[in-house]
Amino acid sequence: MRSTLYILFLLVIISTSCEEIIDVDLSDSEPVLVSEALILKDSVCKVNLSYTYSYFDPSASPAEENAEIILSDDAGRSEMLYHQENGYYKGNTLTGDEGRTYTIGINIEGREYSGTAELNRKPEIIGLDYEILSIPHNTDIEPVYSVKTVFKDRPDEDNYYLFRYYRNNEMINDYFSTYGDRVLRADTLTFSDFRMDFYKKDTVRVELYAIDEALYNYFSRLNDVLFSAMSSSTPYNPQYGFSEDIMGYFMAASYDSRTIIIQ
Amino acid sequence: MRSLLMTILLFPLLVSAQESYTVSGNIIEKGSGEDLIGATIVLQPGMQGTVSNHYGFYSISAPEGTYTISFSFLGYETIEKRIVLERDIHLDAELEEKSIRLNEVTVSAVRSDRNISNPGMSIERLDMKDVDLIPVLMGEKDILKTLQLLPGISTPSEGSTGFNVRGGSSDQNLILLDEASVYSASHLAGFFSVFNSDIIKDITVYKGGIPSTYGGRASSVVDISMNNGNLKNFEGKGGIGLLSTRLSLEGPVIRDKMSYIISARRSYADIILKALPGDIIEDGTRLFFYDLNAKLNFRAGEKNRFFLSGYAGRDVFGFEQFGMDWGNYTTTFRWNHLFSDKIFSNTSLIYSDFSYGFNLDRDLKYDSGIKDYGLKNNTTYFINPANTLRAGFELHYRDFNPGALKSEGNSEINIILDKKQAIETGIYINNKQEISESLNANYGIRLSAFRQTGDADTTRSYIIPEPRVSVNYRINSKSSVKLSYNRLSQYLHLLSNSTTGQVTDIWIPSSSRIKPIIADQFATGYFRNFLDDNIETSVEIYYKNLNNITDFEDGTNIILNENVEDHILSGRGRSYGGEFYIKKKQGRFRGWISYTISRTENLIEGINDFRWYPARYDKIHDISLVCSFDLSRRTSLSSVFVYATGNAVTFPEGKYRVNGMTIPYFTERNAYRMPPYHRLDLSIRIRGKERKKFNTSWDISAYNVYNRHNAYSIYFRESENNPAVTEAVKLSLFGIVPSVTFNISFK
Repeated sequence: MRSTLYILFLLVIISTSCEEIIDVDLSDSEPVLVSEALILKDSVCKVNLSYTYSYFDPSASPAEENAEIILSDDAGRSEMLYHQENGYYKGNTLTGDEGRTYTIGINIEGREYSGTAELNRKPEIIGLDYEILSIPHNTDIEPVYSVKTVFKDRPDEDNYYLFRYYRNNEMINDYFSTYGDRVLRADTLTFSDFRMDFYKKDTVRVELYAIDEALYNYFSRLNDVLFSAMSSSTPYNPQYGFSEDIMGYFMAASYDSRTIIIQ
Repeated sequence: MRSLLMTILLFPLLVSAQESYTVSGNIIEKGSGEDLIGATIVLQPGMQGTVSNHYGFYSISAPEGTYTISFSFLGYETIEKRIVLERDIHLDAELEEKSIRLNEVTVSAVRSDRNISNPGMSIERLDMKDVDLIPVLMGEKDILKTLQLLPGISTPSEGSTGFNVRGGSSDQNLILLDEASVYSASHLAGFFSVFNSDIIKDITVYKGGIPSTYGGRASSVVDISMNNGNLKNFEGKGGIGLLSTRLSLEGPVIRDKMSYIISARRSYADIILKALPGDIIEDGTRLFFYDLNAKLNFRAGEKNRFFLSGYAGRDVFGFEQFGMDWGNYTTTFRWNHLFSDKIFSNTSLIYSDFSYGFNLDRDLKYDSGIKDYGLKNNTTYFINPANTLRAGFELHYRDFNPGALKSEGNSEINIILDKKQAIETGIYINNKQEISESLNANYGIRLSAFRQTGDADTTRSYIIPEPRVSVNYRINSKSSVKLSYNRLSQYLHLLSNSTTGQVTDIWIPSSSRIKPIIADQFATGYFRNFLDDNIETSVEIYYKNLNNITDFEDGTNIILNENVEDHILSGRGRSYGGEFYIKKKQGRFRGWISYTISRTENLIEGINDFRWYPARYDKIHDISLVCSFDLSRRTSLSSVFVYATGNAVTFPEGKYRVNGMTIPYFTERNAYRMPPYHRLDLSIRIRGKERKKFNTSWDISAYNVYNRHNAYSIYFRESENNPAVTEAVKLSLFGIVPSVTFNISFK
């Protein structure tokens, strides 16, 4: 909202603003562990462990390859993940079930981290649709489309959703949407994110994840941090609620997906 | 406490027990009948002096005898009269504006040395003539931007009308327009203030030594008075600039008794853009702001005066079905009454309203805001030339709307946060006393009380005594030393995720969880005048302690959050610094240099590991240089140069990858600095030939003359060409911005 106002104001009134890439002298913080852990319905658990590193370093992030990772659920099952390569770990047989709560424990040379997540029931996309967002004034500019996701909601409980988008089979990394049905709940909901621009002939795939509240808060903050960079809000590190001194998240989820071609 | 009050109350009465008479009256401008605020009145022999109050009223007493009374006001011809004081006298004075004469060394007749004779310190009055000449962004004269050029007052970000006074945040400034609080003083995302300088008569800003007559905010008071309207003749003025056009009309309803002034301003970017070929904006786009001011002034005899003033201003922005608008409405009804020649009283009824709203489509609407109903009384007792006693009270009932989202079609969507109500009262007493020829003081106490009403479990009452003292010791006729202490409390809190102040910010009252902000400030200064008081210089140092300042837990959502109070963190703030000021008030060449060196730091549990960290607006060095020069009778040149240390900011000290994205990793709060900010603005005013019926002038100005790309923000992102590479990007808003404004005044 705020950024829309700024952008319009800047466009319309001021033509003198400019952006320049500059050199900034930044210190390097002590490396902090980053964990990206995922267990999906009917799949084994996958974890990627890495560290924070120097901001302007163009190389890949340093990996943690010697961790001991144990996944367990509230049914008493557990297993140890094995290291594949470059800090990627994978489970063997323990797969995600709806309604179960999962705990992940990470041990690196005696330092312990843990996180817990609930795997919610599978959401259901009823259909996808698109609408034209803006009709351009001249023919040089392509019209912009917004994709609408119609899905089933359970109005009798709090539900949280994460939307991921793919354009022509490629995941759009830097855009995702979160929705908590505290705002509006009904048997059927329609969601569209106006920040996401699509064009004619795009093949759009939407993945709808049912997630728990902690993950919803994490992704909402991640969104906030990514999109408020230009505004004057105070920056911060989105925290998932793992034990201390660790970035990243633990996601237990089930998802549904649909594809639509914009014509 | 009680004995102190008794002493304060009785002491002036004891010393007044001698035979004396009073001369009192109103000081007005000859041409318009407009009150002159702060005119100097001196009785000779004896050099007893006083100044006219906010309504142009003065009262001075002296033993029986023959005197010469003089009335003077900067830029006006002084009037001297012989009076025989053998009974109480009512004497009005009409002062005439000096015509512009070049090559004239102005030696003011009497006491233009208020800065060294008066106990008030850290107080600045802006001369509207200064404001008029100072070059500004897009040619919009702006009193709030002019304030930012004074020592101790800094701007939080480029082009912003928000301001920080001695380390206080922008919501700690009490901005009064004819006594009504203006809760959000900006247009267009903060770039322009809501005050149309055409109809403003007087602006006084209190940075410290705040007298007990004011209360409610922790850091400063900006007291703005609107013109009353010409009591003698009809006149008007207006202007056409790049951003807006404005017109004010004023004149008598009943000559010398009743007058009106009405003024309007509207921006017209939307109209121009629609008219231009090429469809720059779509037909349904709304983008404008407006301000309307109106005032009626009625003199019902010598003893009573009535004023009714109002302001309405809004920003409107929208396209197709999406829209947002925000703004203020204020109304003030005032009654001046003279109980006797020595007792002047003013009673005001005040309403002010700030609201913000948006709609996503025709059906879904959001709004938030605050309404403030106030009653004030201030009674001044001019006991004798040595003592002026003020007492009064203030009562506010505030209605807070922290946010409501409503849908007419589907009531299940509605999220309506509970409205909150609160009562704030203040009673005060203050005496201004000349203790000896070289020592004078202004001292008083304000007792503020607050309660959030309703039955929420967070309601709580507070009572805070707020002592205020300032003392002036006159070393000689050219210099003095001053000392002041004040305590201020603030029961209003602005919930804001940003540091520049946004219209989406929400006001809430203090509660059991959010304690009132309490500010204690000590200041001392040395004041010296040169060249017959034509050059004023001062050095002031201050220390301010702020208790119960607030911040948020990371990522707290402010809008429509019922439990927002659970996420508020509270702590302490401190600010200290020195301010250096040289000002030349009169002559062909006028201007000032101000330099502030200061630090502002916060200590908040939950932020920065509970260690002190610099506030974002901690500006170590802040320099302003303002000059204007009359080239000829018809041409004036003026310039502004500013330099300031960059804001304290938080930069990443690392990065990591999550979800296929690079995320910056932050450590210490505000550990980095933006690059230093500096800018030069130039302006030239060319007046047309003087005519009987109308006068015209052109203002041609350039903002940021040497086109420096000052950083508005620095942000970090993945490079568009290579996602593995991360880069820092500096965004600068204004390069050189030329502008031209045409002004006209007519009779």
